[in-house]
Amino acid sequence: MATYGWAGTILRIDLTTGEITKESSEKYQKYIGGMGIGYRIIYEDVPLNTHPFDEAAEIVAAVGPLTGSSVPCSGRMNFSFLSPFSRGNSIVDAHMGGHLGSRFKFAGYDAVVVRGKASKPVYIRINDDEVAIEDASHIWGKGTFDSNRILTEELGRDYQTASIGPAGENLVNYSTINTSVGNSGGGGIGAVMGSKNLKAFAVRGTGSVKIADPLKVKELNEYMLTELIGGNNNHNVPAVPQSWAEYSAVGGKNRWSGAPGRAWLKAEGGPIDAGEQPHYDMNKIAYRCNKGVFDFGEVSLNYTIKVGGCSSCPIRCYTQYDMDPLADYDLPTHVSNTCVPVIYGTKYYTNGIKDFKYKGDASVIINGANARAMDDLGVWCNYSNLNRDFNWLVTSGKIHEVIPKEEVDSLPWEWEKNGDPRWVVEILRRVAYKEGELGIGLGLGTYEMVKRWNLGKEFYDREDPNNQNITYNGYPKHHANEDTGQVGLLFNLMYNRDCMTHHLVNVTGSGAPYEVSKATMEGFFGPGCYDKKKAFTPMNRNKAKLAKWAFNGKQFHDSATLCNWMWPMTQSPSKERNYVGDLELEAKFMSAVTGKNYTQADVEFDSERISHLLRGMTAISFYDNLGETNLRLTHDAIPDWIFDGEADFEAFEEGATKMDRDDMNLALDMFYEELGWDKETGIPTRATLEKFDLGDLADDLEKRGILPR
Amino acid sequence: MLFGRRKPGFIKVEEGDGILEEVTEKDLQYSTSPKKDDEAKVELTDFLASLPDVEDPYEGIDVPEQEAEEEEEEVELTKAQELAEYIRLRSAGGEVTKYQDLKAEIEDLDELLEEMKEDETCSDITYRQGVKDKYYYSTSNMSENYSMIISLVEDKDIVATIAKMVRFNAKTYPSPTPLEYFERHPYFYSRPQIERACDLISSNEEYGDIERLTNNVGVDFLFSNKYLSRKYANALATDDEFTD
Amino acid sequence: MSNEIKEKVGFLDRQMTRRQFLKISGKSLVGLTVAGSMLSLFGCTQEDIDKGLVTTWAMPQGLLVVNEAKCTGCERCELNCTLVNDGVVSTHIARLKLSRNLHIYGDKGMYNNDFTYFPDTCRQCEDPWCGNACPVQAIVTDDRGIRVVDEAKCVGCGACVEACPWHMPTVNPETKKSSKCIACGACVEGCPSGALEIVPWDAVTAAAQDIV
Repeated sequence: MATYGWAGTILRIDLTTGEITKESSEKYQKYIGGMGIGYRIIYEDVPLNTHPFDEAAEIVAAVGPLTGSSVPCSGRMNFSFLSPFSRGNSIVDAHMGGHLGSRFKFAGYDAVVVRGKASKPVYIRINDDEVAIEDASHIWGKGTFDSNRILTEELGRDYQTASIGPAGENLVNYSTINTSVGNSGGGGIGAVMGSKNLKAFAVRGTGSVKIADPLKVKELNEYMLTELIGGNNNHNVPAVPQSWAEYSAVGGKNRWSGAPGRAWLKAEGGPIDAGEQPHYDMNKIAYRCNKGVFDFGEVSLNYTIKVGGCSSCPIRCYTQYDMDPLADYDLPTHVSNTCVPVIYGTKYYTNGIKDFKYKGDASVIINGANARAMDDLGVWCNYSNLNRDFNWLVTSGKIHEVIPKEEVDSLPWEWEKNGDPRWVVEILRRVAYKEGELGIGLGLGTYEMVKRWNLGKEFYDREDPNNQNITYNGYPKHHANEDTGQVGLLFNLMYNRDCMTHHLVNVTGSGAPYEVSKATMEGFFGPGCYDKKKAFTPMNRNKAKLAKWAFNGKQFHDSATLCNWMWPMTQSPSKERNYVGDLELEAKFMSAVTGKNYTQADVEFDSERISHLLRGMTAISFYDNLGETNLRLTHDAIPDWIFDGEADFEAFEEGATKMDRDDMNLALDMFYEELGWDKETGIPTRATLEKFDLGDLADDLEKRGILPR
Repeated sequence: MLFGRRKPGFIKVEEGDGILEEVTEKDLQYSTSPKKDDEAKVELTDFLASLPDVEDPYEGIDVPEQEAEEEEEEVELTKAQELAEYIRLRSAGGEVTKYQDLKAEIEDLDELLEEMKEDETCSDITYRQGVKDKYYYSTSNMSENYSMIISLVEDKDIVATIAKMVRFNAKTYPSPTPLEYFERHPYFYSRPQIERACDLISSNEEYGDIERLTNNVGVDFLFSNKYLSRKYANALATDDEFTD
Repeated sequence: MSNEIKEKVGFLDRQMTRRQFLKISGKSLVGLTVAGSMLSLFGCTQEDIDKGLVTTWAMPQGLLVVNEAKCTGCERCELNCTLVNDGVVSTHIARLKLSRNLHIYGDKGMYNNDFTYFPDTCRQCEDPWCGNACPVQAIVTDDRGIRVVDEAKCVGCGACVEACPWHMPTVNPETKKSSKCIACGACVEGCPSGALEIVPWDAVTAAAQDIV
């Protein structure tokens, strides 16, 4: 039954038997939704030694009480599943924006649990109460753009769809699920769906999200949109001086990049200038973010039609381009993306790239080709590890050792030399179709690739711009010590893929003066928690508390669901507020939407429950699949380059981002203590688990002899 | 109220207007496809006047626009208050108002400015003393730091502007300043202008604290060594592998 | 609105302007030339108009100007519409229609390699198809001259949905009552890109008089 916030129902689909059942979601509401529901269901249903591609493995597509509730930036959704690509094959998520998440809610579901394997290609069609497993043979083999288009044409334009591409069908670990607009979820979800012969989800929802206090929600929306929200990543000062603002990001590298003189030059009907966007003007928010200018500079404006993004979000972080030079290579010219697919495509060109039509546009066009091909093929890049591993393979000469000569010679190197956009498309095609040793090796993902090519521990330890691995588990850092010293490094160690936690980079990258941000952060978390950029101080207790807040808060966002690139509202663009945000807004929205009385402490408690579930499940996977009993020494081990890089600097010197080994050990001690985990093994204690109603998880750990004494 | 009962399903708009052609099913669903451009275009208001009258469903209804809130008795503005309003409007548009420009237009300007000082409804009006002029603005509509920037820009001394802002940025944020910063709003200096100013800065002892550096991807920066060491400025200017 | 304009624009002028714009309510301005003062008021260019991107709707409180080149497809208009009018959040029952136009919109939309998103709004027809079709006369005119659904009378038959050439009314599947736009302005108020904008009649009148 529908309650305020939650849709009230979990849908279960068994693709082997074709059985479709529904159950109440009520007992899962203490796991909030999204990631929390996904982890709990998988923990209950799937033995963690199950192979991610096994019929018994499950995918939980889930949203939360705030998804589709009109709360700004609540358009994302979450898929939980066992990781096919990272060490230990433990629990991971694919997070995806767009318009699909809210449609699950409108159709009446908090989560859709898929298990089993269909005997032929299928897609799942949800039309409110009507749920069907439909034949997908006509779209199997097609790229995601065609699949999504065909489904929408067949079913009607009220449907929202997301589809896997050839990479997922071919069980490539580096694979995604994609919408029509460039939204994607990674982590290998494509292959997990492919292993079930599941091509796509198509959802139409004519119902609604019930709101306990609609007037309060409207009031909070307006409060957030006039006083709290900034640009993309919630950067709270504009990149370029604006007359209403005291500060701007001097370096220009900030995501509130809309400014007078910067126009969408390819807009229908002529250029649309971003103008100024005073923080109190709700009707100009969409002009704040111009991700193209942030990524490539103003040259990108020559190809910009407009900006786009997710349902409910006024910050339009997708730039939508018509890159006409791509037509000369018979490649699609329309590109819509915001993330790494449209940033590091140039890594495939070891001889550099050349401009097409305008000075400096080479990077725009190459990245457009890369983004469009990745999205169509459904290839995932593991936060650009794919690009870096390829670059390393060629520049180090290792390609000649691990790839047969005929295969190396079969690559169209002329295209690489000439900066031809077809080069990157060809590499990605080989990955998606597992073509040759190169395609197979790269598509396995860093962890399996290192094993296959015997690259050894030194692959993770080396100092090299192409090495961003933050653990030995096969995924890179995602805003770590280079942003916030020990704090950022700590939460980067916690997951089974790149952490995607933006709580702190949103503050450090905002462009506001250090003293202004520091006052805000110390006001919330106490003295010493917030260091100056690249001028870190040794570990202290408040940093451990800050890291815990960010770690738990990320779980809340992927469960509620709120966009972690925008939330929480830590800083504000308003001088009247002294630039201080409102961390309790999450609880205020939870209360107004669900009608349950949440304090911020309640929100953090429920979020922390998910943190312990993540950690306990990871411990079980590492024991069951690898025989390891200590997460601190294995899962959380930090490669040498973090400590030994930057030879010109000592740790804690002004300008250094490297860390100190002893200090980092102290950081782990404090962080584990704050979370109630055993300091020696980094595994939660029984007392901690029982405090969060996770006694069954304690029993499971105890059975294996890995519950700390 | 009963409406004229049209037969349902008979879909057509008013005839005879020439431009708004018969509406096909497709147009009705997607009524934005551009029309043929073969006829001479008609001016909007002329066109409206040429159309037959229609019934006004809102006949006699005058929805108050902002009047409701503004109904407080309309006070006659003094000349000083009118001037303050003018300065506010320009501030809202990102512009300061120059004393000399006002002087050319308003004979009793100095008296009005004196009067403004005494008038508490004008307490938001203030000025910055530039080298060439006084620049008036409203603190309600323009930030303090921006008024500094725009006053520097209005003084049209590029060397002084760059030096001042490089020091300000190094002290305030702290941050080195990329030369590109001055190519953007509201400076909009050209690269050659900036380079000429840099040459003058480097040859003038008064600006001895201002140093130049080039980062790892070839972007040029200035910084003041009063507030940043060269090593730290270099590190801050580095374009890190990961910025997304 | 400055006092100066207000003095010049009287009640009768406002009425006159509105009557003029009612004649083309809901129709694209394509084929017309529009004076500079009016263009700046609408926040668009003559080229926008030539390409058929700009449509206006006469509303009691002003002229609703819709510019699809500025729409970024965020659906906040639909979410705000239902939050304010229904106390729930939904795209399907929203009184203006954006989300159904995101992917396929005639020969435009994402799947036609186009980033056109069109927020379609009620034409507030002078002789309303929806009201005429209602078998129980549940669509009535309120004191602002806007046609609204009287929920007490509505039987949820959907005749209004079918009759409206643009299918703007929607029968709410949860309440079984039809709803249509009541010109509350919530969609405009929350539009983050100004793709939807209501220009007060005073300002439209002043701009029109400048030309004449």
